Amino acid sequence: MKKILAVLEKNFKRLVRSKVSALVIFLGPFFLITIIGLAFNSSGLNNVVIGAHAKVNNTNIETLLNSIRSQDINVRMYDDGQRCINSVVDGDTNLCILFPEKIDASNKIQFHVDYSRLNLVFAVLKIISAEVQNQSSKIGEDLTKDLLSKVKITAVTMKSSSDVLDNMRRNANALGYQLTNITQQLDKMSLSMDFSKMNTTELRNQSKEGNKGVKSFKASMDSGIAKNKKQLESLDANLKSDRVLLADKKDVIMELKRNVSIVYNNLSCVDKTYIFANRNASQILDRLKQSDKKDCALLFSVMKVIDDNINDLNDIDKQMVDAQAMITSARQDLLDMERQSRLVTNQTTSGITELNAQLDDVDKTVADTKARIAQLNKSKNALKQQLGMISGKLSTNDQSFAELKGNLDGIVKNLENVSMITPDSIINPLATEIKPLQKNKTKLSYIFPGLLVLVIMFVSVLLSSTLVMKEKASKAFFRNLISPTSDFTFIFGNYLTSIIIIYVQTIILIAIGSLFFNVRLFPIIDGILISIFFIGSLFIFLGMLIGYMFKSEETTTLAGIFISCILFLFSSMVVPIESMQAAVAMIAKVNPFVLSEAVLRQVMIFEGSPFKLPLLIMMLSGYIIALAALSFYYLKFTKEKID
Amino acid sequence: MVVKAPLIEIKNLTKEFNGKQVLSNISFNIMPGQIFGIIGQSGAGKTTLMRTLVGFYKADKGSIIFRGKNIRDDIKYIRSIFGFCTQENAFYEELTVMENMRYFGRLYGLQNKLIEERIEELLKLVELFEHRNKLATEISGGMKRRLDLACALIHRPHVLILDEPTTGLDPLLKKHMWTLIKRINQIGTTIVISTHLMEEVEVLCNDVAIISNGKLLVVGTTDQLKNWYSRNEEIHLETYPGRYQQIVKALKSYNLPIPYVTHEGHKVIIYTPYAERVLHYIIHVLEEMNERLLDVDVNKPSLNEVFEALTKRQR
Repeated sequence: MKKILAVLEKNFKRLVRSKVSALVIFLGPFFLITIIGLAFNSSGLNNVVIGAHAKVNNTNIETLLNSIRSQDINVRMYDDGQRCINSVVDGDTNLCILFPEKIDASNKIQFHVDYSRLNLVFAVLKIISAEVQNQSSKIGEDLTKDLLSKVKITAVTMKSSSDVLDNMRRNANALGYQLTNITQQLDKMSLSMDFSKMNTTELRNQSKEGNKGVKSFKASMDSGIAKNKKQLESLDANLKSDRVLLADKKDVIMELKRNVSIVYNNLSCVDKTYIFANRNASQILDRLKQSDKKDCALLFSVMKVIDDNINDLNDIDKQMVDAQAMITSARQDLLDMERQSRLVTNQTTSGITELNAQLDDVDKTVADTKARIAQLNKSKNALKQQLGMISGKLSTNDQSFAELKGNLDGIVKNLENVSMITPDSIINPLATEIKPLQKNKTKLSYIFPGLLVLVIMFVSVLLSSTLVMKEKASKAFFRNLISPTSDFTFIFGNYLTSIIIIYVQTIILIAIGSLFFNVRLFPIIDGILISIFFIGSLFIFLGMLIGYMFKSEETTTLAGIFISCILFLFSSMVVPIESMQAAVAMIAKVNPFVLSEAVLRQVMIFEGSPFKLPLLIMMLSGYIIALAALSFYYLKFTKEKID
Repeated sequence: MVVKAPLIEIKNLTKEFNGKQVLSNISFNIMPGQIFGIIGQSGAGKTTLMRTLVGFYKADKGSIIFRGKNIRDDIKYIRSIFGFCTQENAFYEELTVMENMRYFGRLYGLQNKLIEERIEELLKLVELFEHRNKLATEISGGMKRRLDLACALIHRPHVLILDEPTTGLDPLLKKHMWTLIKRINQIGTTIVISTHLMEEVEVLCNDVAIISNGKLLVVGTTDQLKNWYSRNEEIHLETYPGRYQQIVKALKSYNLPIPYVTHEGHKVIIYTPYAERVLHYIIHVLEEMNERLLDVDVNKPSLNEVFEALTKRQR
C-alpha cells in the first residue's frame, strides 16, 4: 500500500507540475460542459431556414407555409425551383420545398435535402412533414366524409341480404332435419323375415304321420271299444247271476236268523230289566255274559254274526247293483266313446286334408313374400342412398350459407365500423402521443450520458496511455523495475491515478451540468459514480494496454485516438446501431462504448441502478479483467525491450 | 594467508535476444569490496551483462551466484541489496531532488524516518544537500549524475552496479565522480563498473574483464593487463598514395615480428615488441610498393588503444 501511495503521489506530482496537463485535466471538462451546455440546452431548432418555390400560390400553400413559420422556422420564397435547390447546395437554406401547380395525390410536394447534414435534415423534415401532413389531412377529410356515407348505405343493404340468407338457411335446415328423420325411420324399418320358421315340410310330414296315427287310433279304438263292450257284457251277465245266488244265500241266512231268534226268545234271554234301547251289541253281550245265561250270550253272538252276514250280503248286493249301474254307464260311455272316436277320426282326417291344402297355400305365399321383401330392400337402399345424397348436399349448402352469412356479417360489421369511424381517424389512422419516459429534460440531459462516456473514454484512454508512455520513456522506469516492487504496484498505481482524475473530471462535469444547465444529476450521484468505476476502469486499462503495446508517445496517442474513434463511430452516437449491417451491428452491440452508454443512460435518464443491467455490468467487468491481464502481460513483455 | 571467497560468481553466462547471442559463455568472479571493471565497446554486451547481474534479465544458460546462492532463487532479495546506476539519469525530472530519493526509498520499502536520514546523509555525500529542494530538471548535468548515484544508494546496497557512470561528463566532473565512487567503495560497497575508458579503469578498478561481441576476451587486474600490453610498441604510418589495405596485406605476408597490424583512416597501425627493427623492414616494403612515407610515429600504447586493438582483433 505504501508503495502504491508512493507511485500515486509521484504520478500526481508529475501531472500537476506539467502545467499544460493540469490545465487539460481540470479546465478541459469545465470548458467542454460549458460549450456543450450552451449549445444544446434547448429543446427546439433555432436559425433554421428553408427555401420554398410554388408555381401557383394558393390558400393551401400559404396555410402550410404559415404553419411552418409558426414553428420558428424561417421560410425564404424563391421564384425559380432550381435556385431554391441551389440554395441548399450553397448552404443558404437547410431544405427546399417545391410545390406543384395543383396539390393532390398525383402531384407530389418535393423536398430537396442535403443528407450530409443528417441530424439537422431529419429534425427539419420531421417538423415540416408534420405540417404537410396536417394540411393533407384537412383535404382528405371531405373526401372521406362522402365515402363514409356511401359505406353506410351499403351496410344497410348488406344487412337485409343477410336476413334473407338467414331464412333460406333455416328452411334448408328444416328440410335436412326431415330428411334425417325419414332416413332414421327407414333404418328402423326391418324388412328381414325368418323364413326358416315358415318351413312347411315338417308340418307336411307331421300331417302324414297324423293321418297314419288317426287310422291307427281309429282301429285301436274300435278294437278296444269292442273288447270292452264284450267284457262289460260278460261282467253284467256274471253280476246278474251272482246277484241271484246272493239273494238265495240271503234267504237262507234270514231263515237261520229267524230260527235263532226263536230259540233266543225261547230261552227268555231277553232281560226285561235291562233296557236294551240305546245299547250296542257288545254291551248287550257283556250283560248277557255277566248273567248266568251263557246260552243266551252265545245265541246273541250267533245272532249278531248272522246280522253281520245279512248286512254284508246287503252291502254286496248293493255293490252289485252299483256295479251293474256302472257297467250300464260304462257301456253308455263306450258308446259315446265310439261315437266320439268316429267323430274325431273323421274330423281329424278332414282337418289334415285341409291342413295340407293350407300348407300349400302357405308355401306359395312365403315364396311370394320373399320375392317382395327382396324387392323392398333394394328399393329401401336406393332410397337411403338418395336421401343421403340430398342430406349431404343440404349440409354443403348449409356450410355455404353459413360462410356466405359470415362473410356478409363481416362485411356488414366492417362497413358499420367504417361508417362509425370519423373522417379524422381515417386521415390520421394512428393516434399518437409521445410521452417522454423522463419529463422536463433538455437535449443536454439526453446527450449527457453519451457525452460523459465520450469524455471518460477519451480522457481515460489518452491519460492512462500517456502515463504509461511517459513512464516507459522515463529512464526512471528501469530503476522502478529493478526495485523490489511488484508489477502490480505500478499498474495499480497508474490505474488509481487515472481513475481519481476521471472521478474529479466527472464531478466537475456533473457539478457544472447541475448548477448551470439544470441537468438533474446530484440525486443519482451514487449510481453515476458506480457506473463510472466500471466505465473508467475499462477505458483506463485499454489505455494502459495501448501504452504498453506501442513504442513511441506519438504512435500511442494516435492509437488511443484511433481506437477511441472506432468505438465512438460504432455506437449510436453518430448513426443508430440498428441501421448498420447485421454483422457489424452484432459486433457494435458489444462495443465497450455502447455498453458504457447503456449503463449510464439507465442511471442518468431512467434514474435506475446500474446493477439493473447485470449482463452489461458483467460484460464490462469481463473487459476490465481481460484488459488488465493483457496490461500485465505487456508490461512483462516491455521489460525485455527496455534499452 | 586467508583466501577470500568471491562475492559474485558468473558461470558460463549466455543470453540471447531474438535468436542473436548477446552474451556468450561468460565466466568470471567478483571479490567482495573491490571495484570490478567491465570494459567493452558499445554493443559489446556490457549493459546486458549488468542487467542480468541484477536479475532484470533471465540468463538463457549459466548462472550468477551471489554469496553461494543463485540470484534467481530470491530475486526480490537480490534487488533489495543491489544498486544500479544506468548510463542515463534514472529519476524523474518533474520531482525535486529529495522527492526523487524519497520515492525510490519507498519503493525499496524503507521507513520514512530512515529515508529522511539516508537522504541527508547521501545528499551530503554527493554534495547535493544545498540543492535538495530543486526540481531535478533544474540542476546541472554533473549534479544529475550524482543524484542518480544517490538514488541508487538510498537503500544502502551491498553491490553497486554503475553502467558507464561518467559518460558525458567533462574531465573535472569525471574526476569528482571517481572520487565519489572511491568513497562509496571505501564504506564497504562492492562496485561493478562498466566503461570504455581505460583511464577510468586505471584509476578505479582492481579487476577488469574485457568483453567484445558478447564474448569475454580477458580477465585480470589492471596491472596484469598493463604488463602484458607494455611489451608492444605502436607504430603509426602515413603514406602516399596510401594503398593501406595492400600495405597491411604485404606486411602480413612477410615473416616479421608483428603480432597485430591494421589500418584506420589515413594511417596504418602496427603493434610490435621490436619497433626499430620492424621499422627498417617496413620502409623497405613501402619502397617496393612505391609508397612514399609521409609521417611515422612510434610510441608505447595507452590502455585505451590496447583495448581498441584487442577488441578489433577479436572482431
